[in-house]
Amino acid sequence: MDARLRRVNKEIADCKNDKTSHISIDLVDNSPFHLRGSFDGPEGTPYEGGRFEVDIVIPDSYPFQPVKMRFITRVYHPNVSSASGAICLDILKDAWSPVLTLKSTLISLQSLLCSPEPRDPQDAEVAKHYMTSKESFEDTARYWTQIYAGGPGKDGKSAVQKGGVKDEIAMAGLNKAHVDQFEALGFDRSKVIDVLRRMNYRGANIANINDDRVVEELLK
Amino acid sequence: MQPNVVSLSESDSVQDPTDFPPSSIAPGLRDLDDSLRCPICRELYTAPVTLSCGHCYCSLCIRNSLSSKAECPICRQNASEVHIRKNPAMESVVKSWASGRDFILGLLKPQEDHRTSPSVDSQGKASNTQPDSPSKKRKRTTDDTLTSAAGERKLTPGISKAQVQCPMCNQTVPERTINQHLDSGCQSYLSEASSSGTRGQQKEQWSKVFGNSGITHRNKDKGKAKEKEKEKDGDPDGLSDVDPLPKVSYNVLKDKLIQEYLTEHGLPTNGGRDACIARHQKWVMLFNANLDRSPANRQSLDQLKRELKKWEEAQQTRKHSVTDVVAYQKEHKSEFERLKEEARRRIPDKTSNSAAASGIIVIDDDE
Repeated sequence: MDARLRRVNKEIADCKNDKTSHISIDLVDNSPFHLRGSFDGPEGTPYEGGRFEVDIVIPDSYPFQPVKMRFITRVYHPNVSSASGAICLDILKDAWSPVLTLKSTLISLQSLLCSPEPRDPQDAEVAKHYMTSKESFEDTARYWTQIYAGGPGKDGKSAVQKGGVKDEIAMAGLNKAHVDQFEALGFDRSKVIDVLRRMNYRGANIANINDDRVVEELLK
Repeated sequence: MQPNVVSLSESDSVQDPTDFPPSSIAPGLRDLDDSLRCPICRELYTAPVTLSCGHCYCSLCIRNSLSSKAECPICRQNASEVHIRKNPAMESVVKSWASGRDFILGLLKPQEDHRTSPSVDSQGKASNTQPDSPSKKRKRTTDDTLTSAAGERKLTPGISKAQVQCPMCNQTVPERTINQHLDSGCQSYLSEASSSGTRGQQKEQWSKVFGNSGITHRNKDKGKAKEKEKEKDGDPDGLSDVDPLPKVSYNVLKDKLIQEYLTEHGLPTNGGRDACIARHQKWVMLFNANLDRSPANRQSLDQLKRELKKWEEAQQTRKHSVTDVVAYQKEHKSEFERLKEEARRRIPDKTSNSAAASGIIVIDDDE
């Protein structure tokens, strides 16, 4: 049996035997080289309480080439693409080392959630949000964790009291008053949300954005 | 999904440190087993070597690793092949441990049964060399799931009583026709007709290698490594006092010269330039890694060639791509249908799930 398969087998067994890390690895189909890993959101972060799934593909030349990992669970994080789940992490690229394992790599992802690196972003919009207002960013990240990763949300369930209206705005990390303001001018709500999100219409940054510019964008 | 993983890791006789009970029961044994394993392949060290930083790896593993990145995989200190040093002390430790491992597991077995679950038949299996710790329950029966999971490239050392592996071409041949098979130059009397055009040609090339390996060596009358070759001829299995092969910068070499390098070692020269380079690189790696073993443990050149051939075949199976798209689609139609069905089911599922989970949320785009 080739060395790659032997090693992958050991790594899967290793995760199964380790009950303390709460990291699991499952097969997706019959191939041992396409797996799905999952881990808990780290405590003390907006991701706490969520369970995050990662798509794992093991390349032919593993362990001499890095594993390919991508978030299946949608994550609001500067170094994770909010659309595709692509991850920006050095050890998944040029800083890979053959002594790293599936487990240690998943743990690294876990700690990536603890310490975002907005200066080297994967998702520029999310990174801008993070730089502008960390508090607002954390609210949004918590909201995403609640919606997609089964997290508890901000102070229990109260974050979603306002029903469907709250949803889209909180997802984009915007202020409801701002959205209402431009919606009142007769623009479609989803368009307003989209434009404000792209322009990073949040926190201190609002002072830098002229209302006229927003309207201009909306008319495009 | 869960049972699949179980069958994957259990059906296989992969050994790892968790074969041993945790340190609360058998102090040190699990750590000992762990520290005698190469951090790259997780197997007991084969030809252990150290880098200048002191970290230890299998010779072949670290050579592979250094070829893609010139640093120690653990501490990331710069390293290259010239820093590789043999570690014969580790080699003999590993050798002793490998031979004593099953015995120790056997000693541990009754004790463990006694401690964890006395009901598991503790009398009959005490002498069993295979570790069946009750907590892990490793099945030793060969499960077919693994074979299918590993793909066809898995090379079977001994298949069934009536089937044997041809020493020349490595194919499966019925035992009673093995002689006819050999007489036919590995062309006929196969168990199943599997060789296609290029593969067949390659087989031929390789079988030539094994058939005439001695002659190829003796016919050598040019090339820089002439003297070394002579030594190998005189002592083909011992390989004593052989210098490692130098690294070659292939970029500056003409095709002809690369082929010459290959013939020098009695290797086939079929395939394009890239194939030849890859083959020679791998050969240098295998050859030098073999020299890092103590002379008693070294493999013969024929064994190394077989290894090289195995590797090349694995490369080819991996590169295998779908040639007949229509036939492939037909063959896997049911699978595609199932996936489509699953995907369709998942879409509405997600929205209703999240709505249910949050209780109140209603995702309504109209609002």
